[in-house]
Amino acid sequence: MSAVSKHDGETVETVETLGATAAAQAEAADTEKYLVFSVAEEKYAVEVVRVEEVIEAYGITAVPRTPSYLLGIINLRGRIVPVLCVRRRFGFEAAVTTTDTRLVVLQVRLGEELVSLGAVLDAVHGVVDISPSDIEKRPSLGNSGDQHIAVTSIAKFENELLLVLDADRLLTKEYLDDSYQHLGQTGQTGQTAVG
Amino acid sequence: MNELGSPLETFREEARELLEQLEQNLMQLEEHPGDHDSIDGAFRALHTIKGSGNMFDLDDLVGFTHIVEAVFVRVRDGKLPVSRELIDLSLQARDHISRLLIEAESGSRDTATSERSRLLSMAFEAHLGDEALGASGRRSDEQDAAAPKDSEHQPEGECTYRIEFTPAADSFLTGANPLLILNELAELGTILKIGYCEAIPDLKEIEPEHCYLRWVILLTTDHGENEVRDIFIFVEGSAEIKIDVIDEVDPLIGESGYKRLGEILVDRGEIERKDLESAVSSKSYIGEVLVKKGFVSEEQINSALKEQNYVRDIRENRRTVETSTTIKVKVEKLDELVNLVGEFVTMHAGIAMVADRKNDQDFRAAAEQMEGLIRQVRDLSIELHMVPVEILFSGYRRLVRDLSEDLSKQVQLKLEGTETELDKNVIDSLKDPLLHIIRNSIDHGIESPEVRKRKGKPPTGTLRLSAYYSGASVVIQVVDDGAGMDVERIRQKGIERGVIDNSDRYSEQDILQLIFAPGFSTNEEATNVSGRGVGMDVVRRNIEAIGGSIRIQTEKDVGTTLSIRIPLTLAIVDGLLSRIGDSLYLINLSYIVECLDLKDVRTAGNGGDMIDFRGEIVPFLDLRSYFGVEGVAGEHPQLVVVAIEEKKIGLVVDALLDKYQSVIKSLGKIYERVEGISGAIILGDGKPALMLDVDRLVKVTRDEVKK
Repeated sequence: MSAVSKHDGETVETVETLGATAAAQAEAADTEKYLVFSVAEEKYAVEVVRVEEVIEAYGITAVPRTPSYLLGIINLRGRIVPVLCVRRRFGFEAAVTTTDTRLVVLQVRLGEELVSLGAVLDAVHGVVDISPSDIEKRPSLGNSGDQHIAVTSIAKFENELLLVLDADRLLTKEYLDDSYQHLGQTGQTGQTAVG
Repeated sequence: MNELGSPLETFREEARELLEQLEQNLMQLEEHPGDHDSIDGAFRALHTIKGSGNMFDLDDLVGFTHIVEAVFVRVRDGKLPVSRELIDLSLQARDHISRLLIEAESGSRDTATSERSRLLSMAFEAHLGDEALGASGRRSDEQDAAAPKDSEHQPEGECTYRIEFTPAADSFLTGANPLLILNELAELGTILKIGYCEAIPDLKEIEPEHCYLRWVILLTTDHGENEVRDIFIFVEGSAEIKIDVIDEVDPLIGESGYKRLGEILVDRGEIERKDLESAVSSKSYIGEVLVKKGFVSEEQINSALKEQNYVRDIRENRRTVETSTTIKVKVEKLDELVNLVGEFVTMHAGIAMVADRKNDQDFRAAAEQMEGLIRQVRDLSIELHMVPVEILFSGYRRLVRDLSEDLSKQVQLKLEGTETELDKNVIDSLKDPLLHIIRNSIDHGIESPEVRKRKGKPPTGTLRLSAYYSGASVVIQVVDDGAGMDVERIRQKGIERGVIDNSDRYSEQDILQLIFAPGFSTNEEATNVSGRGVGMDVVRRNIEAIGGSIRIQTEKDVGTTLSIRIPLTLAIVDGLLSRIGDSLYLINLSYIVECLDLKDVRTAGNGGDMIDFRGEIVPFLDLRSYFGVEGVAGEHPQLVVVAIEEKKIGLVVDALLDKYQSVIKSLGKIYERVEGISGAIILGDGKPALMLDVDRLVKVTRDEVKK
C-alpha cells in the first residue's frame, strides 16, 4: 500500500523515499516505478519521480474567482501549494471525499517553470514496477477538457490496463489562460498585458 | 589566500564595511559640512582600518590611512574646514584604500598603486598645514608618538576627567556662579559632583557672600580637555582648577587597572606618598588608618571612594554597551529560522487541539502560554529578515555624485520613504536594476545646466528615490525632472525594427515598454555611461525574476518616473482578519480608514450602490457576491472603508475577527491572474488564508462606478 503522510508532518513513509528505492530497483530490473491511482473508476499511473508526496486531502482553502477545477491552496510545511481536482479537470462530476481520497503533490512544468501542484484523486493504490516494453505510446485524443489529453500512453500491468498520465499535461499554461478567459467574460475587466 | 574565517579574512570583511561607512559619512558631510557625527564617523572608520591593518603588517595601507586620518583629526578639531575639494580627495582616498586592500588580499603589488599612494599622500599632506607628520609608511604606534600632539588631552573616545575646582572666596561678588559652571559641565557627559563642606565655618563666623565650597568633579565625556577647560574660562584667573584624566580606553592597551584608594588620594595631592606608605604597612582599612593618623579628613576619604566606584560603574556601562552591539548572521540561517518557526506554529496548533480534546485545564493553560511565546518568536524572526530600504538607497549617493560630475551635470539626490522595510533578499536583487535606472536617468534624463536654463528649469536637476507600500506591494520610484522620453521616436524605432506595426492600437505605455526590449536603443550616439536601452532588458528581467513589474510615466521636458512594483512575497503585513462565508481574508491595516456596522450606514446614489461615509459618497463592493459565495451573510455584516491614495471604497464582509501580523506568501503561477487576491498567509492553526488585493479592488470598484 502506498505511503501516506499528514500535513502536520506525521509522515508514515514518504513517496520520496519510495521513489529513491524505486529508482534503484528500476535500474537493476530495467523497469520504471509508477504510482497507481484511480479517478472516476479508471486506473492511472504516473511516474514516481514526479511525485513529491501523498497526503490526505484536507485543509484546502478555496480561492475565489478561479476555474472550478482549481480547489484552492494548502499549506505544505510553510509552502503554499495549489490544488486541482483531477475529476473536474477531466470533466467528471466532483466526488464526495471518502477515506480513500488522497492529495498527490506532483512536480509539473507550467510554461517555463517547474511548480508543485496538488492533485486530488479518488484513491491511491501503490507503487508498481512497469517495464518499458509493457508501455505503448498512443496519440493523445480528445479535446483539452477531456482526461485523454493528459494520457500519452497505456501500460499493461498484471492483466490490467493503466492510463499513463503525463504530469505536464494535467494543467498547461494555454488551458489555464483559456479557463481564466472564460471566467473573465462575466463582465470583469481583464488585465492589460503589455510586453 | 587564507582560509575562510581567518582573522585576516575578518579584517578584510570589516574593512570593506568601514569603507562603506566612510563613504556614507563623506556624502553626509558634503551635504552638511559641519556635521559632527559624520566627521567623527569618518575619523573612527579611518582609525579602525589603520589600527587593524597594523596588526596584519599591511604597511602600505597603514601608512596611507594614517595621513588621511591625520587630516581628519584637524577637521575634527575645527582646524580645517570641510570643503568640496577635501570631500573629493577623501572619496578618492577611500577608493584607494579599497584598492590597497585588494592588493593586500592578492599579495600583488602594482607600481601604479604605489605611485597613486604617493600622489594622494602629498595631496593630503598639503592639508596638514604646518603640523609636521612622521614619514608615511611608518608603523602607526610610532607615528602616534610622532604625530602632532597639543598640550591638551585629545581622547580617542570617551574618557573620564577628575576636575578639582575651588572657586575663589569672593566669586559670589564677581558674579561667577559655580552652580552654572557645574551645570554646564553636566551637559558634556556623565558627571559626579562631590562637594566639600569642610571649609564652612561655624554659623556665627560665616560670611554670607563668601564661597567656602570646593568640588571634585568626575566627568566622563568624549569632548577634549580644552573644551572642558573652556567652561572655566571666566573663573580661570581666580579659581583653582586642576584637571586630570583618570580613566580612558587606550585602543592598544585597553583599560588600565583600577586605582587603589591611596593612589587616588596621592593623585589628588591630598596626601604625601610617604605618609601613605607608612599607613599601608598597618593591617586595618587604609581609609580608617589615614583618618586616624590625621593625614586626610573623612570627607576626603569618602570622596576618593566615590571616585573609585564611579570609575567602576563607567567601565561596566561601557562594557554593556560594547556587548550589546550587532552580530552578523548569514541570511540563509535566518531563512531557516523563519521556516522552522512556521512549523513550530503549526505544531503548536496541533498541541492546542489535543489540549482542547483532553479538556485538561492545566494542559490548556500551558498551551496558551506557549502560544504567546511562540508569537513573540515568530514576530522576532520575521523582523530579523527585514531591513529598511535606506540601506539600498543611500548606496547610490556616490554614484549620483560621480556620474553628474563625469557628465558635467548638476544633480541633487532626494531620498523618500527610506524607513520602508523590505525583505533583505528583495533588497539585494534590486541593487543592480536600480543602478541601471539611475544611470540612465542622469545620462539621458537630466539635462546639462545650460540646457535646463534655456528650458526655464533650475540648473540643478533633481533625482528622487522613493519607496512606499501600495496595495500588497512595495513601490520604488525613480523620478527625474529631466527631458522625458520621446514617445514618438520610440514608436518610430519600434516600427523600424519590426517590433510593432504602424497601427494606433498601441497605448503610450505599450510603446514605452519597448525600451525594455533586448538591444532596443534610440540613442544614436551612445555615451560611455549608458545608452538608453542598454541593460534595460536586463533590468526588467531582474525585476520580473522577483515577481515585480515596472512602469514608466514620462512627459516631455517635465521628467520621467519609473515605478517598480515588487510584491510583498516575503514582506510582513499588519492586517485585519475578516470572514466571508467560511473563508478568512486578511486586509492590510494600512489601507483601512474605518470599520462600521453595515446597518449604521446609509446608502446613497442610484440603486443604492453607494454609501454615505461621513458626508462623502463612496462606492462599495459586496465581497460575498464578488467572490461568488453562496448563502447569506450573518446578522451583522461589516463595512470596511479602505483608501488608496485618497480614493475610498467600502468593502462588505460577514464579520471582522482579529488583528493579524504575517508574512505574505505568493500564490504562485497558477493563481497569478486571480482578481482581488494578492497572496496567502498561514494562520496559527496551519491553514492558509487569503490576502485581499485592496489596490485592485479599489480600482475595479471605481471603474465600475465610472461606467
